[in-house]
Amino acid sequence: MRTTSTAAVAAAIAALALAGCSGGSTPSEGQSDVPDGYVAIADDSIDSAGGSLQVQVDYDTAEAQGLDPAFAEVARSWSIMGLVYESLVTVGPGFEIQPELASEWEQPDATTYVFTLQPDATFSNGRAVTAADVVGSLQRLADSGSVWSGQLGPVASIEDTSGETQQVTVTLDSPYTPFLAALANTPAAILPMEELTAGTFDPVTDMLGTGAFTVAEHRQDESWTFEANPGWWDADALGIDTLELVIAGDEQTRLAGLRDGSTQLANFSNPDALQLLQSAPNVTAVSQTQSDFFYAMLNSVNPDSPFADPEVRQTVNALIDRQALVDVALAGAAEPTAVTPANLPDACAPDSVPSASAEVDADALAGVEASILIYNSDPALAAIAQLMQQQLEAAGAEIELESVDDGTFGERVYVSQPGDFDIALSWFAGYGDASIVTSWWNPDTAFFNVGFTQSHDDLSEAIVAAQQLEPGAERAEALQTVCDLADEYAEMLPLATRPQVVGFASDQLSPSILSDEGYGDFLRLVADFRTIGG
Amino acid sequence: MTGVAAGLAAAPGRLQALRTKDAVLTAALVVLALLVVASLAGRVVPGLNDGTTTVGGRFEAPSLAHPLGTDSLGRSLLARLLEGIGTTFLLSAVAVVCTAVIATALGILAAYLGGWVREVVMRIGDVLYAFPSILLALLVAAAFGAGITASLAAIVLITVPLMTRQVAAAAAQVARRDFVTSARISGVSAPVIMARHLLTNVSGTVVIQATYALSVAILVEGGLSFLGYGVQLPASSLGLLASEGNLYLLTAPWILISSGGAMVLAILAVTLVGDSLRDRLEPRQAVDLT
Amino acid sequence: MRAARWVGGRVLTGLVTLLGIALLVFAAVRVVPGQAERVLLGPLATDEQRAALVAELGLDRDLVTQFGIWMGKVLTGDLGTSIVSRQPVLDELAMRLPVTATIAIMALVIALGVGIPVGVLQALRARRRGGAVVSRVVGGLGISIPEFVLGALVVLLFSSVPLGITIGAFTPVAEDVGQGLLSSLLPALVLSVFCAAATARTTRDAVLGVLVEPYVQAAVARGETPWSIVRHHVLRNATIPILTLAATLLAYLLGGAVIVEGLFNVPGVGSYLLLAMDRRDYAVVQAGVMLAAVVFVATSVLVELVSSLVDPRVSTIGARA
Repeated sequence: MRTTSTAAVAAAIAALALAGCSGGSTPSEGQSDVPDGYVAIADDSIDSAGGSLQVQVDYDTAEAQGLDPAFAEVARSWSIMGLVYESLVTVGPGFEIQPELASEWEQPDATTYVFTLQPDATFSNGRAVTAADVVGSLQRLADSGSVWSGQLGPVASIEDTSGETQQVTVTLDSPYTPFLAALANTPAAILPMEELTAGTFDPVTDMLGTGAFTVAEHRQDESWTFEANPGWWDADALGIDTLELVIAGDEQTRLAGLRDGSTQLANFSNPDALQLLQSAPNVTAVSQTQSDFFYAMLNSVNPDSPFADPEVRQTVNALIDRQALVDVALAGAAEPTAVTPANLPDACAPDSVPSASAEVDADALAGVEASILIYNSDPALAAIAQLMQQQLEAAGAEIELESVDDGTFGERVYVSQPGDFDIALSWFAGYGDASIVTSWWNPDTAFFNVGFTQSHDDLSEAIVAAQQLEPGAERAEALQTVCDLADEYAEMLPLATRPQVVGFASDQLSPSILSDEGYGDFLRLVADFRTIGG
Repeated sequence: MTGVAAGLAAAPGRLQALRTKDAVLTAALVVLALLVVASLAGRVVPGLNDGTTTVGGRFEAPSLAHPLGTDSLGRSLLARLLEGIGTTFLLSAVAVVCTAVIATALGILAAYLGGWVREVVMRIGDVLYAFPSILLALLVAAAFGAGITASLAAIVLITVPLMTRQVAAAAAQVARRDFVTSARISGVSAPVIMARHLLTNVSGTVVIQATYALSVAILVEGGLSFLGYGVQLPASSLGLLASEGNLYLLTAPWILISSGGAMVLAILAVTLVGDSLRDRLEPRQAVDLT
Repeated sequence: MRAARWVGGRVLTGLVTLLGIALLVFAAVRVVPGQAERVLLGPLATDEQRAALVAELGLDRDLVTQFGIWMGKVLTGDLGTSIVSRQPVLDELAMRLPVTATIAIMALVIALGVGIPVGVLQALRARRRGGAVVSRVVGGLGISIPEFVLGALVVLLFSSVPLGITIGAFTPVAEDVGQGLLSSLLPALVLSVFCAAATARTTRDAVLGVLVEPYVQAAVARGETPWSIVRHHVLRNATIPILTLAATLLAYLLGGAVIVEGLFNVPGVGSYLLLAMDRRDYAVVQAGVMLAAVVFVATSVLVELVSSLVDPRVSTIGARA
């Protein structure tokens, strides 16, 4: 019988790999003893003053299915909903899978997982969590057809196998290594299925979870007020009473909030925030390495796109100087990546793929006219697009930039069939296992990219093959095949990891922040935060 | 920005002694000329005419090669500033010419024909005037797709109503005058009267209003580009630079200061020219109480 | 009788203007590319789901019917439901309007409080050469500084130097009057600079316009003091253009402070509409534009009515200042 062995091995390898990867992370000042895997750690010796924590974030959750975690597609939704909802497992330092609602789990064979639930877990309405809630929630996700349902893997059955303890057994059709990492994401949250089925709880408009907080108030695009959930199974550990989440779209405002002491924590996707906050007294800024990465979509489906021609796509892929994108557009706070996020175990080296060593003529793109489509809410995209424009024009192409609002971007890229663009830029969350994000390179399971990428049997098979292997050299080799094939088809080109800077008022707050994150959740350890009384 | 238009439409200063008027006017014209010359230099002078290529590191301090330093992508900020002045001026000027043509035509037609034509022109003007201008501009940008065309259309839609109203008022005064009546009685055709008598007599109003419209145009371009719906990267405009300047205000305050400063200078100079023109073309004499 | 007809005519014109705006905004949101059912539901929705949303929003009917239904609802006080927050638009506007209104009124009070006296002084001293140049340039500067430049600098200043007002935490007046007024002060100040300069220009122009009137010259000849002349003749007659400007500025402040609200993270009407636009939240965009337009038209009509009381010639001539 193998008890949680997969996770343990993964964690060990992750820890080794991370030692060399977290160079971009800056340990906070005055916290010289920050352990590996963290960029900040709450000072246990502080008797938390409790009270209210003011946090500013860049944008609010705005999903088609409202507050229903199963359908949440955007990283910010995951972190906000993750304050209220819990999944069976979570991600710890070094991408180690750790218990959350499941106090422990066993993996008797490669396709079976047995989860034992926290005995004290209750929903915030007081009702105890049962195995039926877990079975119902996971089954609901698997059947939902949502973005995340495909990431659960080849689930054969989800069964209530409770005896003396509440227990759930998940059986897979075939081994699927990223299963636990997929379960760790918020869309796999456990919902109160009894109330949901009875119709007394609508997950679209309300949140009723098992987590550390409950929602006191939500004003769309303005603020959230969360209150500590006294019935949380780990309530004694909680250091704050109220969490005030203010949505502040303008970065300058978030900087100002930290600098003038009215905000205790804020996030920035602009890598320069690290430097911008340097001069501020009582503010510590840390860079959290993300497995999230920017990618360029070359439209191979639309016949009007110059990238229907695979050779043109390969030329573009070879011409993009990813190191220059990192150095200039991302202020050096990122790293080039292949399809597998560069900071995850078993990931391919970005310079190992064929395009990295391909020779390209000086005027290889002569006569090619294309436009790069970006959305205007992320300044980093504009920076990357402008550099790519320079790089491609140097090879004779004529490139235009088109910046549109988020709505138009989604409409033209993901909804239009075929996609209404030549090149588009966006980013993927990288998740906690190198093989999860590779699923997006198969449009038949990813769905959202059928309008601009084609389905390739060899690539799809390679993706599945790699996901069946346990972490290690063999899997790294299989993932290399995925990276190489994706590189040759050159439809979605991975560019560089996406920086995330977190700033906090070090005179008011002692937070815990992981050095690496795969789901954009910089509030993952908020329960450990300690406020400093004044 | 409706408020902007209204605020500018009220002209002060009709009483300055001629010499002071000339001094202010001269200074304003010199500033405008300098800005135009600078933007032209930004098109042709090597080293100043490339604002789109990465030529150095990020946020380099000012040097001989890059007198204002470099921006977040290592481009010469001076080159981008000069290009931005040119874009903003050209865009605003073209938009104001369009506005002037449309407003003059509509204003004269409304004043001369009166009746339902006047009523329709005035009501459409009211609608555009009462529509919150920044939202009007954003809707136009969303409909056309953000960019130069959308900015142009937005500026025209925002500046046309007020100018039409002013031209119509001026033309109506002229239309009541004896020489127009006698021309009409002696059988001169309506188009000829409108062109020969009305147009020539409202030209002063048109020129004055056009200067005010120009400053509104610079503000609208700035606001739209600041919000990301105006001129598109990698091109440069004063509004785009101000937007980037806001982003990097803590590391590189000179980006906002130089682009914002250029904008202030341009609007101020244009407004002062407008005031001086109004003093000259529509003088009145008041008592001095002091 | 004649006055009543004039009033009726003005109200009718106002209603026609509002109808025109309703048509324009209704058409505009439908011309904008990216339809709601595609933008909102994203790539994974099925055709049935899209059709369901289209039906829910009533977008499957012909445009005339859609417009009719919308107008009917608006007239009964139903502004629809936001498709993003799933809340009634009326409730959301009711929450955000006080925030914006507080800032708008503060800005207007500052603008009038500073602009009118400065304008009067400028007019009275218009003949003094040096002063005239300075006041023209300073006044010109006031209307030349874009609010996003000034706003950004104010944010930087107040977040760098502790001056007693924090930028990061905006408190609505509804929650705490004192804190609310304090956090509204900076955005109001930024907005008031332009408004004050515009008020000063208008006041100065209006006062100078009165000074050419024969009755002022007669008063000077009678030997009345300058202050008495200003009080009895000038201010009374300069009221109309100032009121007209104030109405325009109020509408501008209520509907157009999008950028300043963004810079100071003010949860007001402007930032709400900007986001709604991105998300094709039709009900919100339509309601927001109508709100601003109603305020503008209503204050304009009101100002004209007041003007006709102050100066009966307004209604007889029917001309606008």
